[in-house]
Amino acid sequence: MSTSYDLVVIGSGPAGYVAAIHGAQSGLKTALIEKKDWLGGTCLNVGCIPTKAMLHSASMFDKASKLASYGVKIAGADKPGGITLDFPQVNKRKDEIVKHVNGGVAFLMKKNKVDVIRGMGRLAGANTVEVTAADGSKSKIQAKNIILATGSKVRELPHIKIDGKDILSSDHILYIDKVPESLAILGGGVVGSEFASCFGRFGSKVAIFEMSEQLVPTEDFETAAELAKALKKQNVEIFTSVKVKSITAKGGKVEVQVEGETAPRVFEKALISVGRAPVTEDIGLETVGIKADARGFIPVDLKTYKTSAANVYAVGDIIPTPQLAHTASAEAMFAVDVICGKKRTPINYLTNPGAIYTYPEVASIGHREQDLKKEGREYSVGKFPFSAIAKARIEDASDGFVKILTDKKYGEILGVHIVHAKATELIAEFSLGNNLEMTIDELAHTIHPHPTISETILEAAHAAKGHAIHI
Amino acid sequence: MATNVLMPQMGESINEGTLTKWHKKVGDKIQREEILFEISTDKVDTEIPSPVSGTLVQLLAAEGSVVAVNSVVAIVDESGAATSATPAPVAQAAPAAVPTPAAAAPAPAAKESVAAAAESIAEDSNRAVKSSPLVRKMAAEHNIDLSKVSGSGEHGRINKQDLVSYMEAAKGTGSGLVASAAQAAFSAVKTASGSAVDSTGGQISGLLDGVRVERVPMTQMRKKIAEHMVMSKRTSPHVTSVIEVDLQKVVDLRAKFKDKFESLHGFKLSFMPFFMHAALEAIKAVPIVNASVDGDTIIYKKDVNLGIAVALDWGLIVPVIKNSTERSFVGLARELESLAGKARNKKLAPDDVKGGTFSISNFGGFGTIIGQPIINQPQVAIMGIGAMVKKPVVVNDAIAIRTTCHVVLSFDHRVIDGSDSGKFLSTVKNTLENWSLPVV
Repeated sequence: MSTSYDLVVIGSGPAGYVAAIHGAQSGLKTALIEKKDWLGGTCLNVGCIPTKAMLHSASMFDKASKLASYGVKIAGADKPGGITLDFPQVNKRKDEIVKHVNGGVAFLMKKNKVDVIRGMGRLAGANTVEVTAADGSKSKIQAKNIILATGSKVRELPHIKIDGKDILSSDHILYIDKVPESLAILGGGVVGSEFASCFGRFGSKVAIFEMSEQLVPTEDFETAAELAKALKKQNVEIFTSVKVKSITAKGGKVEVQVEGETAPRVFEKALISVGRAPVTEDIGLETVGIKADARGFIPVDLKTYKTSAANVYAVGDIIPTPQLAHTASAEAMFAVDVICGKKRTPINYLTNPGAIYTYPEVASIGHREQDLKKEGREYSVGKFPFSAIAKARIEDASDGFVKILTDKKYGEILGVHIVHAKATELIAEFSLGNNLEMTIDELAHTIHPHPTISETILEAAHAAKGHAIHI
Repeated sequence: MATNVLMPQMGESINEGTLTKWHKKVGDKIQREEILFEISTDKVDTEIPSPVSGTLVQLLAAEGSVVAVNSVVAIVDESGAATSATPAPVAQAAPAAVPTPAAAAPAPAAKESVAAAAESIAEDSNRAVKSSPLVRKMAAEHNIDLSKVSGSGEHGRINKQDLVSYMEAAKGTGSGLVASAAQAAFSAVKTASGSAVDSTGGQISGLLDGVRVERVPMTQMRKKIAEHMVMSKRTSPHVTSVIEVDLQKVVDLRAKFKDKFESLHGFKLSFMPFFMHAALEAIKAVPIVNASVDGDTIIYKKDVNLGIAVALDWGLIVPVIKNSTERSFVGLARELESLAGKARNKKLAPDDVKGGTFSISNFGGFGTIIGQPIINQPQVAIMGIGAMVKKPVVVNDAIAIRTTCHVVLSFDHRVIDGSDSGKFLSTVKNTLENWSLPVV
């Protein structure tokens, strides 16, 4: 293995491995450094992929009890205990999917001739990366360019100890061996809501404790209300604007003390999901003069992803942009293009889609209505419910809506909020359209296929112009 | 192998340039880096070297034609096989890339159709450039000709941010939302009814009946000067104040040190650096002259970038000395020398003429003693220097012969008052008459 590269990427998540492939494809001699024995980072191993696998099982379990209503009869299914959840199989399937995709990333590294170096990578002065292998041996690599893609880890709270047994993080809950009877979730953001929707449908009695005044605090207020309504039907109780004073494990149970309540609430397990913190400590930033900000993020120029140090770039969860896998990949490819001297239009984060995989799913892009209101902007709202769409009825997925916020003067699409079983697929239409700066007129004049779920977007576009057809 | 020679991009905001001169003709051999042609843009005139060595097989733009940036102007055959390699697609693309003057400006004969044609200019030209639907809507609303807006998107596509920046820049120069196409339409209509003359050359044929004329198209630089002057006069209410300065001390000082200066620094010491230093002192005392107007806001600039008007045989250009206050007297003189040399040799880079915050014009070269210079927008004041003449002046109640000159300040009365101007000019006068800075 060589010790001198055009590009060295630290971290193999969706930022790092994509940077490595794109770098190699662009003709750079590239190495990828990973400290764990996996490839693909949080997303692939303990994030996006395994959680969505579990959520899919939850959806299938949910559907199973409705099969009879579609005219599909399974003998004994209507008897008590006729349909049961095989949780070990849920986990097995999830693990197989992760293993399969992991192998895929390893294959892509080989195919693109990226050298994968196992060990802890640290900056060690200009154009140098030091790698500490599992056995403690150290080696140095010269790099013309370095992309930091060290990702994020579960954020912890000083007053609550995550023990991994009863009080869990998202890393742990993926590996529990049985569905808990009851589950307290601290934090009603993306991660908390997804696990609530998952374990609620598996049969746990779930309670979410959220400090802000709405569930999924980063989403539009109507999205939050719609999702809360749906989760309540999935055994999930939601407490907003509450402070949790302590969560303690006691005799195989977990006690959650909410501020202002006299006695603690008791659950079998607790999940702490209060966000993710950037991994920027102990990666040698000081050796090249990079200073992380107060929250640990690395400041970069968003037109180039350059850090304050020459030839060092940072992308993904370690910079203060949305912590999403697809965002990280886009930033990674952008940084590689900058290294290769390609001219690129800076990423417009207002066209960056957000996705939550609850049932129903939540997807959004651009501004929220409450922000437009606060800024005093002139906007129109086009909202259309899936309950008025035939295909949604057919698929038994009538929950949710499409909400489009447009600028009154030019019809610019300012924000889109979709709540639906397939919301995360539907939002892609706006990823493209908004990136191309379409206005509500082009959208309203675009022929959508019938009968489909996507027709709802057309209807919402007409609604934004003041004349929905099918309502 | 045939290589396409492109019209170079000479600056961020430049979309086209006039190809002023070919240095080679078809069949000529040319070396890499040898000058192939000259261009003139609204910012600079410059010579363009050949990117490769070979034989010139085709010229695709006539001298004097306006050529869009990045379009093919010539083909050089590197193999040396002179005329054989002429790729068809390039030849096809050529007519589109090189619009004839006739197509760009409607001929007088077509008067009736001018108004109708002009009406569709905005829409048609906006369709021809890459832009987003949102941008086209905004441009239509504000009557903006998108061919004037540079796009930062994929393949130069104009996105919302590009248009917003353009609109803000237009606002900053005080010209409002410049709608070139719409304005052209307006003036064309007015001309057709025989009443007015457009700023940059509406047709005046009706006024010249019976006069023998020769028609010479304006150079790109002339057009830009014309546009800029009219725009400035329309934007700023100009007032000019004059002060007389006794230059004897400066004249004596220069006479004493000019040889030493030249032997030390390798170039001649002119009077201009003295005036530049005096202007910098006066700007320090009256910062408003170094400002700009943005709507109802005054922008005070923290840097002083002195623009010095340099007359050329083919026009006028104002190279800019960046961060003038941070330079020594010799530093100012040296930068001036370098920029003036570049201007005369057509070697100015676009950056050399950008970012001026205050300008100086020396109109005294032919003996003119007083002038009223036009402000270089978006600046708010310009200093002018008249001819140096020997005059009898009263010194300590006796008459003496002294070298004097008039220094003038044209200022934008929207934001600068007579008292400011008076203070400025008296500071210039005091600095020059009581010169205290060492010159070598």
